[in-house]
Amino acid sequence: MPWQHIALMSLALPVLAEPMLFELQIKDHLFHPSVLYVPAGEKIKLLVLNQDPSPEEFESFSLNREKVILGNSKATLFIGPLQPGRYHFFGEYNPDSAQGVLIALPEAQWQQHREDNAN
Amino acid sequence: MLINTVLMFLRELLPLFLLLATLLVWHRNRWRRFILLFSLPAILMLILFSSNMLWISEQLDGFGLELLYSLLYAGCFVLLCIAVAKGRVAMPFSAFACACLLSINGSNLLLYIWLPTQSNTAPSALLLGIALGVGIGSSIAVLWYYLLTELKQWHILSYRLLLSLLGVRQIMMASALLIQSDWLPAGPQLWQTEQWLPEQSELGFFLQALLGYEATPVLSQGLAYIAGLGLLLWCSRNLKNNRRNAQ
Repeated sequence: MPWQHIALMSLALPVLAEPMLFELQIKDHLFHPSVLYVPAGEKIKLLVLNQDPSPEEFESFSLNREKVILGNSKATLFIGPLQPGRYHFFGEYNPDSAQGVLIALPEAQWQQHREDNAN
Repeated sequence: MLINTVLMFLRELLPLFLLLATLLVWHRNRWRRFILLFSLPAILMLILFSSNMLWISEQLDGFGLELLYSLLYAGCFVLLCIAVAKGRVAMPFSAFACACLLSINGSNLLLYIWLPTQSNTAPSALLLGIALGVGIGSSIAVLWYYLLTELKQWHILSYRLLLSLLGVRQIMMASALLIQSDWLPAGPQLWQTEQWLPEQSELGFFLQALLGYEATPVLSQGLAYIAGLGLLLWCSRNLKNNRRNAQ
């Protein structure tokens, strides 16, 4: 096979896009924002910044995720691709206060949400 | 505070207690040696990991803890496979498998006990929570021990299956950590049973500790689970003979 054909075929390979980055903060044992909107059907990267001096464990049964974030530090985790819906998460060391929900929006609603935020 | 501590301890200790009880049924004639072989490496690893927790968590773009824990979970599984396959090394390998699990769960518990915020709360609430969590967990483990003792006498295949489920649970835990670190592709979700059996329910809690129950597993976890279960069952095919040799 000529090398031009191979080069042409390699262009047709799917490009692995960098996942969208979302940020979540922990302060005074609360998540900010407590409601996080993300696109459904896409893998996302979640950066959790713990501004408290004490460690916290990001925990979600519906997302199948648990991650310890030490005090005054940050942690990254990958989530999805998710079905549209609501996914509850909480801080395992302070479950009474650290509560939040991640909402995965379908494509059209996600675009609308982005436009609303941009305006 | 009290309830949170109880749940935290129960959640971390129940998988370890179930594995310990299951392996003690197997090694009950030499349980003192088993406890010694389990305790020493467990304490060493616990001290090593807990004292370097910050450094470990900062490695590999912040995924150091995930890699370490997934290696320990996988190590626990591999050690169990060797233990059930090779009768002569069954005792030390079983003990090291338990030590791997204790080093993970123990590190999490030490982190929780020494939380800076715990200094603001009454130590009696923390101590009572620890006592209740350990008490409930060990009570379940004692019941589990006697159930398996009877089961092993009459039906060795059931014992092999339960031991294999406990072993493959560690693969489920390792795969979840690798997926969230993006080192293992997740694949499509296999099913969703959160409405029928939530992971946070009592039964879901127990099944998670016993066989790594997930309400929303993905394809790579399913494949790893089936392969791991098959491997452990195959490795334990001579367990009856090993048991006789050991006794």
